[in-house]
Amino acid sequence: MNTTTLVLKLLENEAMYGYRIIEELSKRSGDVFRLKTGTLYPLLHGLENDGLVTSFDEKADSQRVRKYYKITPEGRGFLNKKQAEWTEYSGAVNKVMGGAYHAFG
Amino acid sequence: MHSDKIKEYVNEVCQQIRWKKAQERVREEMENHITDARDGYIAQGLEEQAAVQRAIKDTGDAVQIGTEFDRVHRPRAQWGLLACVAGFLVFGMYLGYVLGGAGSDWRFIWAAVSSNGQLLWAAFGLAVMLAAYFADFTILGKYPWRVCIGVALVVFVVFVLRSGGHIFSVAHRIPFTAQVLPLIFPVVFAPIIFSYRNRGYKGILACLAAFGILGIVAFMAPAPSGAWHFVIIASVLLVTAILRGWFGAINKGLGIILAFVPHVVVFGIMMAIDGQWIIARIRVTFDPFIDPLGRGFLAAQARGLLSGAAFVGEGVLPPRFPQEWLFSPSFYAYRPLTTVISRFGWLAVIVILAAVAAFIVATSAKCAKQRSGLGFFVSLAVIVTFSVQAVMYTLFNLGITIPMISLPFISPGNFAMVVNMGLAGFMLSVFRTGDVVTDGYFPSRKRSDFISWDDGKIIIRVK
Repeated sequence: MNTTTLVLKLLENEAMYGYRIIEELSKRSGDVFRLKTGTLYPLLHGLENDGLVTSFDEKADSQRVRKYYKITPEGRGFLNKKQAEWTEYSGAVNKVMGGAYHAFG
Repeated sequence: MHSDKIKEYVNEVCQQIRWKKAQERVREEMENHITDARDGYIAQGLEEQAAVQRAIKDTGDAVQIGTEFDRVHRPRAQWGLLACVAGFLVFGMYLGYVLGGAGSDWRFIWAAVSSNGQLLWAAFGLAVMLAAYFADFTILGKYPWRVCIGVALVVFVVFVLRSGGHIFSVAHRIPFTAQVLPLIFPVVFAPIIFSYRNRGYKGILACLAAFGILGIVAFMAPAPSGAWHFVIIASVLLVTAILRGWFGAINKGLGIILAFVPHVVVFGIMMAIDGQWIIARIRVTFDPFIDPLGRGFLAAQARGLLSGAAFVGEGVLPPRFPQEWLFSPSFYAYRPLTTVISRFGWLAVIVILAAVAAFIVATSAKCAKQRSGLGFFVSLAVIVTFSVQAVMYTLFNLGITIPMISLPFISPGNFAMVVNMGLAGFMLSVFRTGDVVTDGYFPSRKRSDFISWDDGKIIIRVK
């Protein structure tokens, strides 16, 4: 599980702009993951270049336009694959780590 | 000023990005982000100055971030496709000399290559392609009408300066076939389509106006082949835009009918003026033997040759067909594909056309991935220009009397080759830089109504 997967997961259900992604990630992770701005944007731009997300502009107020990011079908495919990998991996870790409890409990 | 601090910081980030075009995109987004973060801190009760400082600190080291952006944003070099075009060019020249009389001995080919101007033309074509490759296509999106009218005017002047001749000579030694020029029109027509996004039937009408202006200029050429190409290509582009819903919520069927009204009207007028002549021409198109010594001459000859062609290997010449004809450069010049089929068999031409088709498929895939409507339509215009040429040229070589210009990059024809190389370079410049171009990049022209209501005031615009 890496930052890319987490960001894609956040975008799975709604389009967001960068600042919201950072806020949302720290909220959902109970402040465990604090994504650095300097990490997020180059990552988003890279994802866009690879076609995993697309961006569109939307007016925030009279002066400013916000760039929203939206997951693409390719992005969903990538996310599903990574999620399946993670489930398998974390399941295996749990079996090993949790196995001790089962043995005694 | 605190907002200056933000700008200063973002400037430093952007300075790390070597690709200028990417800087703009990063700049706006980073400024917005830091402003959002600042507002967040102010809402939490911080003073503005402190809020700005915190927001910038959260963002991180400017140089480090800028370097990250620099790594992500690089123009996508298209050396593969450039090499592909150059490969087609070299192959076409080689084929021309082998089939145009020099034979397959390299020494003779080299002698032929160096004795005429084709090497110069090829160098010129490559230079034009590279220049177009490094050009900035976004200018088309900023001034679609100005560019369109400007190009139409320049071509108009060229046609007026020398009308009536097959060859337009800048100097006598540089012949250039002016009727090829309308092939550049689709590229300036595409941005017009782009600029009328969501503008409904009015948008289609505006596009038709541009279509009409370019079409009229195109038909002023010494020969109408380029104009016919333009009409087909522009129609394909317009229909594509309508089918993609580019003009917004309109009935697509009605839109397409509207798009073809001018075609029907012009055809109706032509029929009224000289219907018999047009019908006669259409009949010769499909049956060249009606007029085998006139308009149907080239096609009738081609059909004769093809009837004796083999699938692989040399075909049988039709009776009373002098063999020297087939081996003459001038015969090859007009019907290279027919010649190839007759000398090497159908398979050889199928292979050549498959290579061209592969090029078109590869470029179409990149066109479909364009982020901006502008990038999409401009590259599509070039791809359709190549495809229509290839199809018409092939049909002509199969003995159907229709206007033809070239098989892009491969067939002989110096000026057509240069124009096609230029178009290829331009398309590749879209693929190279399209990543940082989005439609938000172009300030959408505000539509101001004559009378509007704003903030309790009635606003009447007189201009």
